[in-house]
Amino acid sequence: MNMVEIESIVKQYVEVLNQRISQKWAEVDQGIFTERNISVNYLSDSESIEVKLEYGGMGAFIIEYGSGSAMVTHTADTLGSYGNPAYSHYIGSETFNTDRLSKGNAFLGREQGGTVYTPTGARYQSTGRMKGINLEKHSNPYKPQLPMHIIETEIIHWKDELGQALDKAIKESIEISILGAFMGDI
Amino acid sequence: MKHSVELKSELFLLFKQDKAIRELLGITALSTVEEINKKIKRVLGSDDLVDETTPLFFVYAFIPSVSNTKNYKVNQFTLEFRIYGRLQSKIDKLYLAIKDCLYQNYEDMTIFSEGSISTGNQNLYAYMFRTRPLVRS
Repeated sequence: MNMVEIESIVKQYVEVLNQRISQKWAEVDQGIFTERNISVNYLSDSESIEVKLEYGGMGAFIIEYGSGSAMVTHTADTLGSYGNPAYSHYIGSETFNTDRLSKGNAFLGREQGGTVYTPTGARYQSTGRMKGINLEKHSNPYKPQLPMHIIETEIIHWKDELGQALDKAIKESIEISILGAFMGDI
Repeated sequence: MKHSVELKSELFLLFKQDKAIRELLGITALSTVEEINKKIKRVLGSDDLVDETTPLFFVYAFIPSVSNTKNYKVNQFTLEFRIYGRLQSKIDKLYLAIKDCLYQNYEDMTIFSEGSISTGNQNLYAYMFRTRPLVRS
């Protein structure tokens, strides 16, 4: 079995993985968490194949790691699986309202003129009327989204499937080679 | 052997007639088709997960997968089950009931992957498992 055949199997399974993730995103996005994208890059040589999967966008981030007070604050280093690898980057970015840190990351109203970043990627200027108020407890609340870990869960199960598929393909290839040898092919 | 779409319909009939599943989901002789469809779903819409009127339900569907056979008459695709509920104990019981129902009626529905999944909703839990039934090409 050569690397081209292995790459073909891997590509089939990557395609399937991303279809599953896209399908599940669409089930839960509520028409709000729609800013998301997937990028796939393959690097292969005669001995190995490397697949780089990148999932990005505000919608993907919120669905995966939650938002507001429900956002995962542990990083992948401290929590291992299901940790939030972008947490440090996010709270250090200009999109994050640092006043939230002392309020358990709950959504807070911004000062007048402060930029409000919406989950759809749109932004607008705050009137300042709700400055410092916990919007999650407000009568018309900004609901925090619990983390769904769709990408990580799908990949955990998918890795087993891919491993089994490669094992099966390699086994079949060896069996065919052995059979061919007995029949005088080599 | 059936086509995947036929198998999906056959399973729906099996599930809605299964005594243990009916009891757990609260399906009675008076239950309407709409009510049963809310408890045994063949597709999950974006509004379903926030439906607090249904304390326990499950969804099953063929999800994108790669065929695992080289027989041109037979395919093996991934059938995914997801059980959602407010009580973990009820989810566990429903999981066992569905599994029993599948194992009693099919030889090719062994579970190859399973685990808890997040629902994105407070007090709503979920468990997922996958089988790879043989279906017609």
